[in-house]
Amino acid sequence: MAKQYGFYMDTERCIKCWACEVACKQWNGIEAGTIARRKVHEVESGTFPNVTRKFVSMSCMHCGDPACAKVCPAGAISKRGEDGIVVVDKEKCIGCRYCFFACPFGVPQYTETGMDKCDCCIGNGVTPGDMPHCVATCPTQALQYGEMGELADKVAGKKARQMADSATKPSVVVS
Amino acid sequence: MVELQTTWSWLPAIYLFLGGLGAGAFLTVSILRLAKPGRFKKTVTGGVWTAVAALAIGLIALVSEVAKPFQAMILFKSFVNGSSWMTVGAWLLFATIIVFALSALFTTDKIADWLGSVVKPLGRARDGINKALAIIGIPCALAVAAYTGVLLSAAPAIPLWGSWLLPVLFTVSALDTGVAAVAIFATVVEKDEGVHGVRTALETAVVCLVVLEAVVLAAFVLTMQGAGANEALSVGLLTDGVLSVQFWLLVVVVGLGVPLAAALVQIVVSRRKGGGKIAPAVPVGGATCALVGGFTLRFLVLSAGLHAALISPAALQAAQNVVMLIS
Amino acid sequence: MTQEGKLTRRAFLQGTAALGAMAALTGCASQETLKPSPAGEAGVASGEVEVRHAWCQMCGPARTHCSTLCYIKDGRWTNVEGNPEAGNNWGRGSRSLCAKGNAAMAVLYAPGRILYPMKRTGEKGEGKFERCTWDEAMDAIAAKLLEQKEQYGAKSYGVLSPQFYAVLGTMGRRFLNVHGSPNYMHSAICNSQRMFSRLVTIGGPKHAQATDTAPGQLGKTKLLVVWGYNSENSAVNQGNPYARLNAIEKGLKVIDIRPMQDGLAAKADIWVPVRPGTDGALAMAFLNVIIGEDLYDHDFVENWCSGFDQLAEHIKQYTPEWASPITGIPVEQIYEVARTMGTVKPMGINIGNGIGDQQNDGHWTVACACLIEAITGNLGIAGGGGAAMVSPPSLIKTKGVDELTEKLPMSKEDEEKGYMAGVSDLVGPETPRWFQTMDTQESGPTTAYYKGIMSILTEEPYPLRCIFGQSSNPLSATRQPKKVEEALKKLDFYVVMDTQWNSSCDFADYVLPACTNYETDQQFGTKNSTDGTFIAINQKIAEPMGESRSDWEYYLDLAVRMGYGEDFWNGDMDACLREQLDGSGIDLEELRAANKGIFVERTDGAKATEPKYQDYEKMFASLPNGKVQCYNEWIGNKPNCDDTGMISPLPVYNGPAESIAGTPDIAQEYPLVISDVHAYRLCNHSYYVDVPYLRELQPYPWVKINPATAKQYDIADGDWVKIESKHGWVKMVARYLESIAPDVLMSRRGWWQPCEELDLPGYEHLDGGSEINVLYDAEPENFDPFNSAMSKQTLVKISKLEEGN
Repeated sequence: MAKQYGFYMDTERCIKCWACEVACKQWNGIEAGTIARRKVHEVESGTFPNVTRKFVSMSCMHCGDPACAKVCPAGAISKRGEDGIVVVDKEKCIGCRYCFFACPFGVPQYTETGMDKCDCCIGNGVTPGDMPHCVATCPTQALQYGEMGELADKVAGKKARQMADSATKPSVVVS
Repeated sequence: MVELQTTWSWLPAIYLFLGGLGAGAFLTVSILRLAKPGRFKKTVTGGVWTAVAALAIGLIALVSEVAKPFQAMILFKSFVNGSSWMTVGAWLLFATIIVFALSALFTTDKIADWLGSVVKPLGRARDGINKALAIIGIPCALAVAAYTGVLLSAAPAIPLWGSWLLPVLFTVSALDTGVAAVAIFATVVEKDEGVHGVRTALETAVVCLVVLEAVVLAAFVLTMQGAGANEALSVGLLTDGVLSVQFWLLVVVVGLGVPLAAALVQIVVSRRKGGGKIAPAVPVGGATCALVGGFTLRFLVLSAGLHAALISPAALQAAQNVVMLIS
Repeated sequence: MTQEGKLTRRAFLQGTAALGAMAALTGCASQETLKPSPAGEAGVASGEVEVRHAWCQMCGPARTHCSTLCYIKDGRWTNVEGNPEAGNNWGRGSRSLCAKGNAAMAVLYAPGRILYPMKRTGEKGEGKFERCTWDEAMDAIAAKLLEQKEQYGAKSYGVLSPQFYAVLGTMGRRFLNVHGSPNYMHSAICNSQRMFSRLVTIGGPKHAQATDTAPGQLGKTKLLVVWGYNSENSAVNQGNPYARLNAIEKGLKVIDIRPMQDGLAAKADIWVPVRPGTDGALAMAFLNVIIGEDLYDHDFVENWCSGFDQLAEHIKQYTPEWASPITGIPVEQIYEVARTMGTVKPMGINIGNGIGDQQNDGHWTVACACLIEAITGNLGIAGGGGAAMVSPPSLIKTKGVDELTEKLPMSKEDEEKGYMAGVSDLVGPETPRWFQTMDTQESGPTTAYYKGIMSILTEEPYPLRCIFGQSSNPLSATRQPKKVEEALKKLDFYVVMDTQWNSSCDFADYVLPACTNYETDQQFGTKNSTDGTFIAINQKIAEPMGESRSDWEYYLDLAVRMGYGEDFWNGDMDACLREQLDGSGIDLEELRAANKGIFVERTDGAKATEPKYQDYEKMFASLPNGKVQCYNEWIGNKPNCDDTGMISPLPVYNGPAESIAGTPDIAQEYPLVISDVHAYRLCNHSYYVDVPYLRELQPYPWVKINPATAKQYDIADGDWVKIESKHGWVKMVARYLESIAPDVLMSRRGWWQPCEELDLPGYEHLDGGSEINVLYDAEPENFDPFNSAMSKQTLVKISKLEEGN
């Protein structure tokens, strides 16, 4: 079987420091005030003083069966065979935004050059399979990256699982 | 506070409306043409040109919504992925507008005469061509009408759109608005003696379509209310949320109620002995209201189309599930 | 600034904007294709990118915490990452950085940079300036200082100390000493405050080596108490959050005591949402339970504590029932936490700024925490307080800058009273004069920042005549900007050197353009570990913008102009650096050429060794009787820092100047408590609010509010609100947060910087602005009598601000 790289998000280690978000922007040349390929979300539950906060950093899920690619009329979105990274060909993209309505995670965002999303930093020169910059910069190692099999080994024993909405087979593990 | 869907806003709504209107108008006049060949010229010509204009303007609206409109117009480059409904739709629209446009050219006397004088065989075959274009155009029009709904219902991340009832609703609404548009021509410009019968037929069609549309709309709303929390939240925006005034007033009362009333008035009046006279304001007003309702319906369905991930971000859902597993 | 100033700045900006636009165009073109546009290491490999070393400036100028690799493409610094060679965060190989660190490029290219020396032409505060030359400005400053020295004595010159600042700590102190002034205006909002308290309670040979309550070997700790300590805000990438999360994974139990459940508090087993400013009461109640329920280590107390019985008797009155209405913590939770601290061993306590120097009971709060750690027998044991593994020595031995302490003249009064030189001349001592020695202080005598500024108004004991502010905005760095502004208006001579036009610049006589760390190669730092030793210097990433200059050079230049050149390498900074490197085996040229720094691997096989545990004799040697001061004989019954009363020998709780339980009459009109996070992960104190990547995450001044409270006042999430205390009012945007007590509000200070790129404004420092320090009490008589710590809490009322912004 072909390789599939993906992310592992350890919510027990994320402290919402936003380093991943900013690293993503500087390395991918994304101007402030525009889009964000990666976002840190928060779940707050309970009422004071019995409150818990959980933080989750999320970007493109590089789905096994990407809904965005299926609906793209221009064939601008593709899943790379060698590493499973889902990429956008900005030359082909016409910017119809149909993929936004297909992605169950609301990942696609748009600039004047078309759809924009995480490409695991291969666009800025990171060798496919190597750590994207969001992962390299994470001060607590809450965000990790690797081949899905390796990630599965990493979370063995933890109550982790692949992302909930399994229809598109996201390449992300959350614990 | 829920934020409305704005990724696709006015321009796609205009397309969804005009595409349906054009398809409905073409369908209506084609049936009229096939049923009564060579008659009701002004209605047929008006209807066909309405279909062409509506579809063309709709397509311009659609194309100007995308980031790279000129690139998008190179169909063989930009619409290549057969698994996307948008690709299917683009080629369908391309074929349909050619059929509609040819039909319009051959319907219009002056142009058809000129064409006939330049290329003799075309002049001789004009009636046959028109018939053929009508026969080819009817399935195209139906497909275009349905496609406006299919495009939305094929987008898996929008709970509100995820029902086969949406294409049905849009198709019925397309026919409804198409008939309404044709009815305006039949009322205002048609000189043919038999127009009375045509108008009655059109009004009867309006009554049937409005009732059918009301039933489908009700089914759609009820289905969505019971389909899950996300669907219910979206449809709630229409029935008792921030969009409810527009929904009940413009879609239900103006778009369905008024045309229904206008059509019934005309049918009742025309059945009176001596064929009672009725002011043109009634049919024209009724038809206009149907058009307003048709557009509003498209716009509201788009606006209420909340993205599942934005209602309850999937990432968070997953995290929460994990949290629950742990604790 | 004047028209001229604006024009010149704008013209400069247009130039850079044009370059930026070109870069953007070419950038866009390459983005169109799938061909990678290599950045960072990949770019270096392909020859398109250059790499330079810099110590990250985002936790403050002149710091050497995180070593970074800076990548330059087409002449522009585009990317930054942690240097894997250096041993940042978790050690060698770590490329991590915090959000600020990742946004560092913006400080170099900030549109708000000061580019030329400016001279005031209008009234103070009016903002009218004209450009002048460096020579003109420096000559004027030198002349003024000499004139004032002649007329009022050297002590009339004081210097503002921002947070830990190597330039001032070395060169600035050296200048003070040579010039003859003791008035190093230390913020009193500092780790120093906690170190003073630890030193006088649980010992340590000197200030910087005061006995620690924080675990030196976290891996062996069973219970960690985190108290007013927020490393996820103040030191994200310096190892603490990483190490704590590792330990939690291995079973460490954590009790986190602070008003807001911030990132790391969310991982704690018990969160104690103490009301801001009342930690002292909580600490005393913990002691009450631990002593009352006999949960202390009898052996330790008998052998190594002095005055335990007096403490035990004294503390009886401070029960959990007493503390509960003060702190807002239920009685049962106080018992639970105290019993846990008294029974789980080894335990360590991370004592943070929040309790040490940001409330007016700072000293006793820290002292009580130290006593808890001590009497439970947790000092100097593996996994308890201190007792860190001992690293093998550094392989690169560099020297510090000699501060020439001996140059500071000893006055007659100093001699008579047995003070260290200069102490009797202090304008507003930060700690009591009798307490200040080279062992108890960091680098010499200190005046408290706020007290020093207030001397201008009170003229007691004498007014400061010249203040030099470098990288510090006194209108945000200390309390009550309204009073500070009044003082700056009255001050004879105020000189500012900064990279940005901070809000106090309008009151300056001269404003000098500082360059960033990234435009100068005059500071190096080392990191030592078992793997080896790393050394690196800041490399120049760009030539200094406009006419900006390095902060180090300022002192050298000024010293030469004032005739102190001989003591300042005759103005040659390289000579100063060579002196520091002398004998290290590394020369300056070699260091400046090393794009990733130099790592010297340890080849002798030396490993970190276990420390000597429970080495109490040595640990407590500096304390009276050589024992832990349960009854403090060192500072007790001695004059406080203002000579206005005596310091108690036993713990006391005063409470903030305004508090729910302490001042119920005020609480009737102002029912909510407010405080602020002080250090935050998206800014450096009040700076970097202009950095686009950081500002977009939090565009507006915020106040966190419990949704239940907000609804009571009809405030929606995102509404602008008016927050009013007895002392002033501010406007902020309300943000709902469930994990904050309904009677508490938390905010973030600063906000004077606009962000041009995002078209967001800066906010004023007076009433109606967004500087939270406007709200706080700043009566020096309410400050901590031992270490000058000030209240950072007060009572407020809140209402929706209809006009918003």
